[in-house]
Amino acid sequence: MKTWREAFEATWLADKDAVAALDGWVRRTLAEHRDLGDDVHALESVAPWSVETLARSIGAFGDSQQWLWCVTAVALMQELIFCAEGGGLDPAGVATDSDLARVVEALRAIRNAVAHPAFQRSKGGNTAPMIRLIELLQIDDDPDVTELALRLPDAWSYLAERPTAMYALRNLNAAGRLFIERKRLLKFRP
Amino acid sequence: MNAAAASILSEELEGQWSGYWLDPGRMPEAMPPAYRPTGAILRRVGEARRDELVCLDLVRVETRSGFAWLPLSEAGRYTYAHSLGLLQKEPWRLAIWDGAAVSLYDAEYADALAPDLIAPLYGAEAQGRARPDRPAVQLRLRLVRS
Repeated sequence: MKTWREAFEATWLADKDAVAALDGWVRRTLAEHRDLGDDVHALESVAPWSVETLARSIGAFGDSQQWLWCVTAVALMQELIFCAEGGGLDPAGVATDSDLARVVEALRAIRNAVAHPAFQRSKGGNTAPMIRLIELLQIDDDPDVTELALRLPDAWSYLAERPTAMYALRNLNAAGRLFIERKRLLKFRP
Repeated sequence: MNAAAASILSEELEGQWSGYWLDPGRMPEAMPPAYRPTGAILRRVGEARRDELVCLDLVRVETRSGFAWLPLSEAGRYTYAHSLGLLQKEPWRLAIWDGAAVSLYDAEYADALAPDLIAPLYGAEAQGRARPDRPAVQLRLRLVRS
């Protein structure tokens, strides 16, 4: 089985150029929402989270096997990157690419499950976040994730296990790569 | 394929082989898993060989009306555990069950296929389900146990 560090090192989150490119793009995009785009000092302090700090945190939480915090950091990262253009709570600019839209949807399902722990029962047409995430985990092809999806309906606390973090990391890696390519922020080495 | 077209798809493509991806070192259970298949492939039209073949890699995705198996595009290779593993040269295998008997295939990437070449090799339905703007992923499977 691949270690967390091995899996992490193979992602864009361990690629300094990719992290810097996304970090800069997010800062500029957020600053423009408040007409601060020309203020180089504002770029440094435009938001409490940054791509660079979250990338480090995701790696470190995984190294220390704090899986739920690791997944939470992935959830924050996806919102920071994919909601930056819209400047709100919804992703923007991903719907036209079906592969990107699918992975961002998976990341949003992860975010909703970890960020809304009291949401236990579907209501008003809204599926309980954990139920939604279990649906997506069930169709994954990683045997560890599939096995987790079988156990989760009986105990939602199992979400705090390693397979969730590996699933979240894989989806964040795929989404980030597609997004960087789409925005032409960087050319990945083959 | 646009969302409207995806919403009326049947779940499976006619003739697809469905199975279960096994990560490196994992052996198939004695009986097929109780959960839905986690992998599938589509053989070329007229393909008769079962011991070694080039095929489309299918992934199960959510559509507006449920789930459907679609050809994996090059853009999606980082999304799935098996396709990411194969990119990183890991020895993933596909287990395909026929009753209680299992056929086990080693998998590796074959050349990707331009969208307009999918129909002649795999049929119009496969091309209709594939991304029109990205090459489709092909796999080379070799039977290692049956």
